[in-house]
Amino acid sequence: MTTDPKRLADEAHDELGVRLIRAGRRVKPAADVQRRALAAASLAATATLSTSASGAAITLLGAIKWTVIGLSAAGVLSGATIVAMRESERRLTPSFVPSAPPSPPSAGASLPPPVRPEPPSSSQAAAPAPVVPEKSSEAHAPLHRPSVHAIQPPHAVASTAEAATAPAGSAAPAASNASSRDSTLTEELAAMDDARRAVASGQSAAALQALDDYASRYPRGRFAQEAFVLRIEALMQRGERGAATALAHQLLTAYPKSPAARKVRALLGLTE
Amino acid sequence: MPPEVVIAPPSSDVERKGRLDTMVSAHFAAIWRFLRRLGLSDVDADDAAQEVVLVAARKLDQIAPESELSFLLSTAFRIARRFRSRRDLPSAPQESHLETTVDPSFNPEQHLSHEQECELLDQVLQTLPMELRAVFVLFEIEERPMIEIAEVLGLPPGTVASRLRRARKAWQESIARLQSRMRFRERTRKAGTAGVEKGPQ
Repeated sequence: MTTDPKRLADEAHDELGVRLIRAGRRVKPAADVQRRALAAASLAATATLSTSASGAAITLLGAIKWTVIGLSAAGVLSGATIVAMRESERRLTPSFVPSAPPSPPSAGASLPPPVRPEPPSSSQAAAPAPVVPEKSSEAHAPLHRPSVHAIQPPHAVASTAEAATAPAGSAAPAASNASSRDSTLTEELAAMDDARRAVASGQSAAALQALDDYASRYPRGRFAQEAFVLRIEALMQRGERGAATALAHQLLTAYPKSPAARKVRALLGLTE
Repeated sequence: MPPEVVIAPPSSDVERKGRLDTMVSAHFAAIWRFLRRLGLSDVDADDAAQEVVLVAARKLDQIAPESELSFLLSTAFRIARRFRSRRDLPSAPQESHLETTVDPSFNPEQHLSHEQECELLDQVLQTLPMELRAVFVLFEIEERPMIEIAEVLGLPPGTVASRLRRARKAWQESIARLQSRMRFRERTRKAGTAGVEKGPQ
């Protein structure tokens, strides 16, 4: 049995090399970096509302950088413009089959099994794929579409491979590749639109279901932050202020300077 | 302890979060330091460390309890390579840094500030090729055992040992060069301000 050699810093005296090694050992990250990292992890886990460690809890960090850009663009778009976009997208010919069926809600969720009304949106017209019921035990009405391309998005770290081996009950990886990312934009906008409308009309249960749907279909969705804010709003509507506040604090810790953070502070009347 | 428990299935989100919190509290600083010493800037190390935590969160159920640090370090190594290639950082050693960035006012006899020491440390580490640098940092600075380094980097133990030897050799050579340059500058500085310079050495 071989033992490890002695370390340079243990053997030598106070020479330059040893001093540098010891300096390297004393280095520490800034105080809030660790906190933010954990908060981001919580955020990613919460976004899927799933108990199983599914591949859907993907690097939100990578997604966030686009999301902020996406939010700015989407924020400028008026409702009319969004409709116009959807119309024009409808004329395109995506044979794109969007991402995997939504994962079932966690056991702790108090949402009723949804019969989600399918809005007459372009996402339906664009995806003529056959309806393949995923898990027959689910009472979900939403269309279940088979995932096709499990091509690894650039930022995820081997996420799809692990997702494929994730425990039962988890969502399959998002079926987006680089070229179909534009077609998901329309879909994502449509999905977010549904959620926004539900919140605006006080249908908080439907809103939460739409947001769960969004989170599992687009685990790296552009509007992850906005979805988070809507979720907080919906929870507030249901009087679940405790849950809303917990989520809010996660967001505020992870992304304190984001547009979403400002909205959330306003929602909860926080002055932090 | 039940003999069969290796990868326990997730009990609940709360427990999983608790485990992640504990893991991160114990090892975050080491991960961050490792990323810095692999050549990432402060900002990049922050981002990379966060990605490491996200990966750990996602794969938590597949991490054996006794391999937590190894998992985090090997994830960090992978992510660091990606960051470096994104930044077009060279994988070959950078010799010139020793020359250009040593402040001529450095006096090796005087106490160097912590920042100066870290700066010099990075310069010297940059002269090591990445595969040697990783072993050196893990062994000498992070003080991990060789067997763990082998696991982290996915190498046979013999390879770790030989890389450490080569890394130490390169390190000592660079330190010696750095020292002589610092002393040369010091002599030059003194000669400039104090007049007659005594003979070398």
